[in-house]
Amino acid sequence: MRYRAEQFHAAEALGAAPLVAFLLVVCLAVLLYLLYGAGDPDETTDVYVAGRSLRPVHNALALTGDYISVITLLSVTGLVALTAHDGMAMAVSGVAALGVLLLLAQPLRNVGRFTLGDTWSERFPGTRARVAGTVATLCFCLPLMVVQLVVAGAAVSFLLGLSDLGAAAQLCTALIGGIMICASSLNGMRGNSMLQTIKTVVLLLAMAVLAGQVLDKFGWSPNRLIDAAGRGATESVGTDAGGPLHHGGASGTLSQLSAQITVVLGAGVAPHILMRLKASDRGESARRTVRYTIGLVTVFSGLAVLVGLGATALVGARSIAAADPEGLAAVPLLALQLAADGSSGGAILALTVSMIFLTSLTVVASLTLSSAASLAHDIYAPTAGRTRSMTSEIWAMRWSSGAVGALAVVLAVALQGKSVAFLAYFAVGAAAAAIFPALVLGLFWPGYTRTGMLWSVYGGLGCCVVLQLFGPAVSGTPASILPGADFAWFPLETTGLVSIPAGFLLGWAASRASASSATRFGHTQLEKQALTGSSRSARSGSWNGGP
Amino acid sequence: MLRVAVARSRKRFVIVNASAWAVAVGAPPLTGLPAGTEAVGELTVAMVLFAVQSCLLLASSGRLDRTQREAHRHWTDGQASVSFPEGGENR
Repeated sequence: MRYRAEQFHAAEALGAAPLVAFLLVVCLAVLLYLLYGAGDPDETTDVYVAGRSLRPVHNALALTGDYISVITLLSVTGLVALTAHDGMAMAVSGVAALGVLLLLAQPLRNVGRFTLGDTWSERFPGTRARVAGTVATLCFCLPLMVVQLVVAGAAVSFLLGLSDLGAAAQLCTALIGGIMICASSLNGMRGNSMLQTIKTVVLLLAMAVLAGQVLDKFGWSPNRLIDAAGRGATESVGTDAGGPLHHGGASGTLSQLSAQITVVLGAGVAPHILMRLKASDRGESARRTVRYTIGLVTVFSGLAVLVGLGATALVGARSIAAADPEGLAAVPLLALQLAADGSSGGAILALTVSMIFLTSLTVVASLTLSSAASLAHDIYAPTAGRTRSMTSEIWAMRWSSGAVGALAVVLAVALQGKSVAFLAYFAVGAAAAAIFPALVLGLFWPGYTRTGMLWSVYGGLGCCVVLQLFGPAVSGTPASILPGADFAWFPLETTGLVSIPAGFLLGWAASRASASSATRFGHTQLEKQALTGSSRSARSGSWNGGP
Repeated sequence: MLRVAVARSRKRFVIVNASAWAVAVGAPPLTGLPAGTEAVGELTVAMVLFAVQSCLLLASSGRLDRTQREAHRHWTDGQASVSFPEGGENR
């Protein structure tokens, strides 16, 4: 984000209230982590999936927290502010992704114990499925952690009105990263669920306050807000408004379509979301958890649309695009504008800072936990063999948390101030192209084989990496990460339009080439387990209409 | 029986929501309906599509949950004479 001097001075003039509130939230977060994570659980089930004990309402609040990242928060509001329809379509796609998750919730809860590798190895036992699960998990989690830390560090330091923005952003990034490492390594899923619940409440409250303030400015008349948003947007028509998704012509339409499809099919099958579902006490609870989450995310999306329109009306699309071409600065700029206009300026800024800080912290902690669990459970545990104990696996998870978290913080500090949006596109694209096809085919296609699964995962990931590398996000445009170079031949920012069909096709073709009768029997057992939650060895009656 | 009932409710959910999503995302750019902020006071198309899609998803997810729960209940009742597999979903 690039900030104008007058906006920075406006924040500085609002006094110490936001800083005090920020420090209070930091202290509260640390205290809660210590209270909830101080115990020394000796069961991996407790650490990874909270003992599989979470009821639907609690788990839905936590899942909402997992699902709404700081990128979701800032990019949806920013897209609404810059383009209206693209942003609303993105909000619709974000909710629709939970519809996809709803279909998979019960099978995913019932198949596999903790991780993505567990789910795949349930049908294809052995280390190769576990390694594939770990690779896919890291390819999703690490880039998204870096993006969250970079964006949250920049936004929080800006809203706090800190003087040297570059150094302050790096400091905020390191602070958020440090707490996140403690959170994921000490607490596991139980403490994380508590923090996610609090984060969801704070997030919805803060968004409701911002939306209320916006509507109050326009006499609680949506029509006046829409008219003002229209005027705020027309000022910037023909200028630099709009991110890479909003180019005109066929390429722009295809790019937008690709982004929407990638979000619908990729956002719901993120590894940390799947791990959250496994914390439900039953398969039916997992389904109900997702159902409640759809309601909560719909409310959030509606508020995000109002806040985005408010940003266009009060700040203007030109100013938002000047601060950040992707629109990520819409919420911070709106908060500053509302703070400067009203008497409760400090409170609004403090609430916005807390919202962005908690949103970033909790999601990054979930991503770290998911990565560490995958490394400890799918890589360390099978190689340690009979010598390992549950305690040693938990310690392996904690060390992995520290390592993954430290790597993410170092990368985020190094990339502070650079355009990192392409990492978010890559992460969601990787989930859509590698995880989604392998999950769907693995759960629902009897002819799927181990070779097909490996081709889906590695083929989908490879396709995603190659297309992203040779796309406009990396080179060829002024907004690219390498603006001076031009080796882009793939025209789309997000790769889903090509890489998702490629993941399915590769899985299908490799399965056809390596078909065997044993795979069909394996699927029958898995399907029973997915539907009923019964163990694979158990026998029961006509679950499939047969004898 | 359970498998057939669950598959049917899943299929219905996919058809309804995929169609609605395609209309909500694709209609404005493909048909030229005014949905952008450049058209002052004409944001209603995008907002109505957003609201309708969200409500539809909420309603259909409730229906899916209900039908699958009923299917499981029927299956469990039918299995009353058969000993339920140890642990089941509480494992």
